Amino acid sequence: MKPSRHTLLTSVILALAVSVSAQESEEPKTKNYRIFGQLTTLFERNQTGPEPNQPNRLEYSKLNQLASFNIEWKKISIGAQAEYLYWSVPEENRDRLDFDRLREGFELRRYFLDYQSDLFSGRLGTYFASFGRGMTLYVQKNDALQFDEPIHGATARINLKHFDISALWGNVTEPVQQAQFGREFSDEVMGGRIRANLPLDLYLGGSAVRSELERPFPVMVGDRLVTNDTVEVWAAEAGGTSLWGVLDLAGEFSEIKKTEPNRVKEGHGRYLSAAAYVGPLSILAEYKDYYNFAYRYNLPPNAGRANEAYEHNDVKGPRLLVSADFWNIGSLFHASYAEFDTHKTATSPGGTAGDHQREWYAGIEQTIGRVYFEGSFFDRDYTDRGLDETHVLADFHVTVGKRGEIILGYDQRLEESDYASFEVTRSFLAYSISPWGTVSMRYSYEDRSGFDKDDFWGVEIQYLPKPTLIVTVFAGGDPGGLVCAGGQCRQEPRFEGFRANFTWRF
Amino acid sequence: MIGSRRFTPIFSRVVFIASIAMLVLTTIPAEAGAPPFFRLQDLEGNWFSLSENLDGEVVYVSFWATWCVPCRREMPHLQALHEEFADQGLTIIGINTDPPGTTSKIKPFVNRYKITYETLLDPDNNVLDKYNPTRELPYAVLVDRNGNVAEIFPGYRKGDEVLLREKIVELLGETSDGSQEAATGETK
Repeated sequence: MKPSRHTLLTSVILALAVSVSAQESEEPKTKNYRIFGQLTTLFERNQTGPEPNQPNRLEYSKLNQLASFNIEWKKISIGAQAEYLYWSVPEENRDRLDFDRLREGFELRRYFLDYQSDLFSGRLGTYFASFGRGMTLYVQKNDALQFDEPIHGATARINLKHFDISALWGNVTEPVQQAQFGREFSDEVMGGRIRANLPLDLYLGGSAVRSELERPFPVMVGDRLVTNDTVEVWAAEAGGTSLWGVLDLAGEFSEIKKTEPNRVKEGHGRYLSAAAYVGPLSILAEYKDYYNFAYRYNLPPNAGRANEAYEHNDVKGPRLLVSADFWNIGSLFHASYAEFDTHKTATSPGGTAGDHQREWYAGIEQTIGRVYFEGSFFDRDYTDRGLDETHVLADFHVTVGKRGEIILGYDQRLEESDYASFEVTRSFLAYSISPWGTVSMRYSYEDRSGFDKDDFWGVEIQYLPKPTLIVTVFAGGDPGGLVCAGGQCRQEPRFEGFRANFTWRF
Repeated sequence: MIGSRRFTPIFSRVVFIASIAMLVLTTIPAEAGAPPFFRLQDLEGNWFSLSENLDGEVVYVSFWATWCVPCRREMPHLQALHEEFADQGLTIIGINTDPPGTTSKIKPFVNRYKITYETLLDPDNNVLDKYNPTRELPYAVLVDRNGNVAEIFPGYRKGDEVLLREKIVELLGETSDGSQEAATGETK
């Protein structure tokens, strides 16, 4: 294939850009303002599934360019992020599992004017927000999962000596809902929070939020077309930090009311946690009781493992988490045990026969000379459903020289029931050298009940000519599936193809 | 395929234009500006503003999360640097970016790793989103005694702590007028 004029010119320009920016910059001058930002280009070619022209074949190219630009001057920040997204296939052929596919063309993803001082903070434009521990409101960015939908509106906060008062209003569209129904939803949220700091390191507070949520399918009620559901939720919170120097306490009590065209659903959320620090031991105990509690913009507290999926709508039960550095020899242990039930029973309207969960996990980190090992095992048994989930994570690192390291990683997720099993195993062998980057070989394996087995191989190279420039290239396959980070999860689509990413910060 | 035929020339043009923009921008000498400005709460609920706590110190600000393995690999090295250089003018600040629902776990986590440098919370990720709109964690910024951003550190690879230590020793040896003082730390 003969390279085009554009391709040749582009290669020359990119090479020049990398070499120029790899040179030492001039001595900095001090200024009272700062301009900074980032440019990112992602190109992806995915060809996965059966043979070409067969059903379920997924074949597309994608180009995503993100430009972020910010100015900070004293206590004022102004920023914007623009994105250009191009797909090579028409919308009706796109796989709904990838949230990006709902967007196309140019979009102003962020724009804000932000002011922060000791007494007052305010922001106009886009922002992320949560109240308390996320029971009444949670709209947050999760980069690992590509959850990236901010509130478009305004927020303000006043800090007095013993009080924090905040309020917000705006429109937002929730990513999971988008993926499920294949379109964006325009929801409205408004609310406020107050927190009083009391003597003896105690605090007391509360928050309230009202949301108008666009319905997936509008309904006629009488002669009126109803397009929205209304959610009203409030919470009271109390607790203390470093009580007697060794104890943290937190409690939150919440009520929720969901008004739909033909019914009103009420629910509650109750959460208690106590953390104590005794010598090398950290002990965390929590109790949660959530009933009919989940809505698009809350994520109630949960001290479970960040790499797993958790139910928040109907669950109650305790957890104990213990971690320790016992012998001061570089060994860190952690272990957790939890038992959860649902409120619904076989006799509840639309109920289940119960859904008892027993969960435990334990892990160790160990450093011995040039070797570092981290391993953990997770097991969750749904006793009523006869379903068992296990998740093994292990990383083995060997330092090579002053700035090099060989890493062997293993990640196995297995679900087994009386009728079926599902296994996804990912492993990689990598060599990293600081500060230049990493080369890794990946092997993944997917097995559905022994009938449908797939292998995936891949190679990834990450190169940093300087800290402000990152070039990443991946060629090969990945089974996709459930990916969790920070307590949130998403299903990633299967990938077989080529991906290149270029990031430059200034 | 129609999509591919449509796509190739547009992709080529977009990359071409972006490359020219990058070339122009990368030829501009880096001019350091004011330090990062943010106001966040610590684990006890106290507010902390970076610009009001610089005081001519060298400051290393690192974003991390409990689920991030490279962050956990980096933290013991940061603690060692804190213990070695805190009294010579180094301030290390870890900004946790876990969601607010996992707040109960963060202090036990910090306690497990025996972290004694400042830990702040960015539960809504507004600060992270401004400084690092893509997904790398850890992500760190090193600020010199004048409040200028001296270096950024995206990700963590074994050995980065050696370079970080060298850079910190160099910056600690600089006085606020830019001249060199004898740094007490020796590169290991």
